Amino acid sequence: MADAADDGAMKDRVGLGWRSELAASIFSHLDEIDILEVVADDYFHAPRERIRSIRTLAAQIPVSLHGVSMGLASTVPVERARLESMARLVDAVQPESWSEHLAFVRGGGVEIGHLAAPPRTRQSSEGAQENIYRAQRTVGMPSSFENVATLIRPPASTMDEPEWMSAILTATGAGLLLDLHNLYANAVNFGDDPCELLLRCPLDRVKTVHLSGGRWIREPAVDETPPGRRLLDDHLHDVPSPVFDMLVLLAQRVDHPLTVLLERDGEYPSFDLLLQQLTLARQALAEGRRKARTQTAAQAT
Amino acid sequence: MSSPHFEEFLARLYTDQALLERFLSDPAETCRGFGLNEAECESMRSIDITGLRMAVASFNHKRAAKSSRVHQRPA
Repeated sequence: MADAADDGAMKDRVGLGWRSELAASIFSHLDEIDILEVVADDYFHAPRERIRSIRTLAAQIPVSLHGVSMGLASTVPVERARLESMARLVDAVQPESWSEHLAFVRGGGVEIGHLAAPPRTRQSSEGAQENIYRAQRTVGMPSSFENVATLIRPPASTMDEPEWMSAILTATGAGLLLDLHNLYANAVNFGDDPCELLLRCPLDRVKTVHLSGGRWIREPAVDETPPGRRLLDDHLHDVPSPVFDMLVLLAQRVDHPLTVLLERDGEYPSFDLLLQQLTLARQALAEGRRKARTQTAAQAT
Repeated sequence: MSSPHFEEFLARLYTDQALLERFLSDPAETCRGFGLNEAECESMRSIDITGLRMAVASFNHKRAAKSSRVHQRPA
């Protein structure tokens, strides 16, 4: 296992998302990767051999399963079949943990086709809490839930993102899978300071961190006003430096180990460049831990 | 506010181009016609129209990519 992010007793870990396109390179560099995240939905209906291959992988390196379609952030109870699919896969693969999104993905039988931010309200928070309880009861084992990026300010919201996430995670005791690029995109798209937004999140609940990249897209022209732009989280670009700055801040503020995962879903650069991003993540973690130690030492004198 | 019916409205607004066009030309009537209550209709008056158009375009792209079996994993 790589140890560049080890900092005394603080065993931070850095890894990346398992993608079949990267499989050969991942196997060649297992000594530089602490953990892999596997998209669970790709295996819910997979033949036994494919599931066995992931179990074999999980025996070689820590694996976390990542779900993308439960739709937990809803006033509608999550479908039992979706929970059972995850439970069966967890049982078959024996990962160290699993995760899902705090997202709304369907309504009235209509599939949105992607992860949408629900109205951030007391009702959707309570619905998400109930769904998380159901999921934890059915699937078991440690789980955490991820914030999503949104191009639209979630309609009908009465809470902001940190308030809404805190309400859900405090009530359920669940972990937060904090996607820093999602949080960064939401901040810059809606006029918030990314670091201030980060510090208002329930950082004590953060277990895992996602890093990814995106691209700026132009707003549609409405009138004579020059259109602005918004950041689309697309997982097709390198992690921007402000997101690494957020990771430094996060590592400075939390006093428990973090697992950081790089997500890349296409337009793959050379694997060396992906490994460089993992190195940058380790450096950001180490810098944040150093700053925390310096701060603690200064306070003690 | 959130309710299963309101979530259905949003899911349809995000995926049904005809409903989106009706909403953009007459939000209040479209919300009432869908059976949203007064508070829900009122909450939609201040919707982020620019973001709505961009989100719908992004969701359309994701659905098209999925149907053509291109792996575009979520955020």
